[in-house]
Formats: sequence, C-alpha cells, structure tokens
Amino acid sequence: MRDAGQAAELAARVSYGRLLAYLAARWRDVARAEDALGDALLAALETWPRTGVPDNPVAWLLTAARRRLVDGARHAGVAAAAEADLKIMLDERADASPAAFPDERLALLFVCAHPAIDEAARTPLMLQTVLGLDAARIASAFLVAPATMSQRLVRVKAKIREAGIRFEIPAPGELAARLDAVLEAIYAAYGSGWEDVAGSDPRRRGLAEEAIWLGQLVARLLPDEPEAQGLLALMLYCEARRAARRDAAGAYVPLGFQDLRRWSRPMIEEAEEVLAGAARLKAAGRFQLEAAIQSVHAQRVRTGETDWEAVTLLYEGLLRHAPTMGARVAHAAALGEARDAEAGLAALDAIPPDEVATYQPYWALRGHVLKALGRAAEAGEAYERAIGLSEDPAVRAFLLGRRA
Amino acid sequence: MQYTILVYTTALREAGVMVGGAGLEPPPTATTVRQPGGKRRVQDGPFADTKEQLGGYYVIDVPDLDRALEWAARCPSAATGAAEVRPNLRM
Repeated sequence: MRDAGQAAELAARVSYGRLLAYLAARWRDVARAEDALGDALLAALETWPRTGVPDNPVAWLLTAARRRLVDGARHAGVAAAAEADLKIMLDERADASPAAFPDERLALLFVCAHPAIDEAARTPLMLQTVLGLDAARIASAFLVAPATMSQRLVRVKAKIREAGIRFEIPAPGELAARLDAVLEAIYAAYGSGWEDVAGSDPRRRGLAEEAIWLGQLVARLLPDEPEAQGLLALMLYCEARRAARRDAAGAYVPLGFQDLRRWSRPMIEEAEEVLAGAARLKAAGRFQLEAAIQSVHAQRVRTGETDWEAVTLLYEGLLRHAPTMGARVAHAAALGEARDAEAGLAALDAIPPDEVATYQPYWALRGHVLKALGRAAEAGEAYERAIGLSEDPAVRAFLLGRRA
Repeated sequence: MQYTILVYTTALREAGVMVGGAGLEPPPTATTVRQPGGKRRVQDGPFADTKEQLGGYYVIDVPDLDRALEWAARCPSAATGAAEVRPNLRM
C-alpha cells in the first residue's frame, strides 16, 4: 500500500512538469491538462495498491490523463468530439513509444513568458506548471495571499486558452525578448529550493536541481545568450556550497565560516567554464554579474581569502543593472567587509525603512553591523526582528546565538 | 491613411486569412440606445466618450494569437493608435 503511494508520488515528482507540458501543448489548455493529470494521480493512488505499480508509471499516468481529456472533450459537444477523435488517433500513434513523448517544457516556459500574459503572473505560472509548485508555496515566495495567487493563476490559464497563445518555442527574432522572464522564473525556482537547505520540505525537495536542469536546457538551446549562461553559472556556484551551509549537527554556517573542503570543486569548475563562455559574448548583465560575485567568493578555495573590494565593485555594477532589495542589502554587507561596519550601516540607512519592514536579510545584517559597532541594545532589536522573519529554524538558532 | 488601409486589406485577402470586417464612420455619427427595464432611451453620440475610438474592425482566421498579433502589428492603425486583438466567442 505504502509502496504504491510512494511510487505514485515519485512518478509525479519526477515527471509532473514533463507530462503537463506535453498534455497542455497537445490540448492547448493548461487548466484542463492540470485537472486531467490531477485525476490521473488520484486514480493511481486508488488503483496501484490493488493492481501493483505498473512497469512504466509515467506512461500509465499519461494514458490515464489523456483519457480524461478525451472524455471531457466528448462531453463538451459534437464539434469537440470530432476533435477528440482526431486526438485519440494521433495519441495512439504516439503510444507506439510511450516513453519517448516529446519534451515540451521549454515551449511551455515560453508560453508562460508570453507578452500577452500579465507580467506579475509569469513566474508563478511557470513554477506551478513546469515545476509543479503549489499555489500556497508560490504565494509565500511572492508575498501575496494564497487565494489571490490562485485566482491570478486561474485567470492567466483562461487567457492562454481563450486568446489562443501558440505552444511553440518562439522564432529567433522574438526569443531574446521573452528570455528575461524565463530566466527570472528559473532563478526564482532555484531560490525557493535554495532556502530549503536541509531538504526537509517535501514540496521543495529537488527544486534546486530542477531549476539547474531547466537552466542547462535553456543555456544549451541559446548558446549565444550570455545571460542564459550567466544564470546557469550563478546557480552552479551557489549549488557548489550546498553541503557546507550546515554543519554535521545541522546548524547554520554563514558563508565566511564554511568548511571549504565541503565545497564542490567540480561544480565550481563547471561554473567558471560557463561564466568564461558568457564573458566571451561581451554583453554584461544581471545574472553574469551575480555569477561573477559568486566567482570571487569561490576563489577562497584557492587563495583562502575573499577580495571584498572586488565584491563591492561588482555589486555596484549589479545595482546599475538590477537595483533589487537583495542586491542593495548584499552591497551594504560587502561595504561592511571591504571598509568597516560604519560604511555598511550607512548603506543600510540609505534604504527606505518601509521597503524593508519584512525583509529578513536587512535585519540580520543590521544586527550584525550594530553589534560590530558596539551598539548592543539596537543590535538586539534588529536581531529580534530578523528572528521573527526567519522561517528556517537553523537560521533562527544562529541569530539567537548572535544576539546573546 | 485610406490608401494604406486598402493595401493592408489586400494583403489580408491575398494571404487568405480575411473573413470580414468594416471601417466605421467617425464617432459624431453614432447613436446610442439603452433600454434599462424595458424603457428605451436613444441618445446622440458614442456609448463611451474616450480618447481612443473604434475606427473599424477586421475578422481574420488564423491558428493562434501569435499569428493574429503579427497581422495586427502590420495594421496601419497600430502605427497611429492601437490595434486590439480579441478571439471570437466560440458558439
């Protein structure tokens, strides 16, 4: 019983995005494809404990989901029924090799990044469809209420269907313009997986790897797009440090204290290679700059030191390309290291307070620099705000230790 | 303007995507009817007094939004104002 449930969960986790992209592309309807796939998963949970897990669970799910779609189309009316019959014919031909159904995930990514789609909904839609994140998790990543996020996603799926957006990878001429939104979404997915260091959240398990996989796919498809290469390099640098971010007891280890033997050298080397390739294309951009910052940190493996002047300079460049809150706070941290805590605090003070009310890294860094300046009471207050904003218990424990 | 519209319409026809459409006389020629609760009210002028006015429409048959947007971008009114694309209601 449990085995069947686990097999269904595994099949869904490994192949959800691929199945959904294929079904959505064939039926040009994301919402119906999702419903059908959801039904197929439920059917698997009911059937497999009785009949045993099929030899090819993914093909089983695909067939079950396809049947739902065809039945639904039959019910929808005569005209749709003819269309459904045609689809069955085509699908039966595809059944000859069920394991080899085409990978439409990249096409789906570009549909989600279509200019006809509300900009605020693009990344959430990609996370939900291609990577299978649920609306509640996406809502928390985007700081909106789960109900609002669900409605937004329902609305854009209706738009995709009703407006008839093409399920294709765009022609070379338009492709670059839509790439930004695709890269943003992949990075957001990676960020979501990165937060879950311990791998304790089943909804996020493997998300970082999935994001890297998508990054590799896009980088391979667009070898002349420096930002696609830059994003891949950035994710590889960060991923190389994953094992070092917690000690043996599971406690949080900040970057400066990480055990360099636990950094993955092969992954750093791969990142260096990708970033060097991007640099040869001679068009700087946000992701390349972020990757370059991580590259400076990675040098510590060789030199044992961090060139904070270089990091500060790169953050200044990054702020010109993408003045995000994350970059502003990280720039302040770099200044604090390159110059002194006073300079770091001045950079933090330059950020409008109402924009950082719920931004955890700001308060953690503020506590850090105030403590370095000997302003213990204020440091304590800042740490307390940071602790209140930390979801991860290991981070909370670390901050509690710093506050003491 | 007249001439470019003609050229554009010809292009639509020759591509075999043209289904129908019409150019409209300007808004001052409009008459608007409202019949709330069965009581007819006839009024001079367009139903919405906006800066941008509907100048005409084309009905075209293309497989997807992207093809429709390509055609809309070539419409002379896209250069001077805007071209809005909407799917037909399926009936």
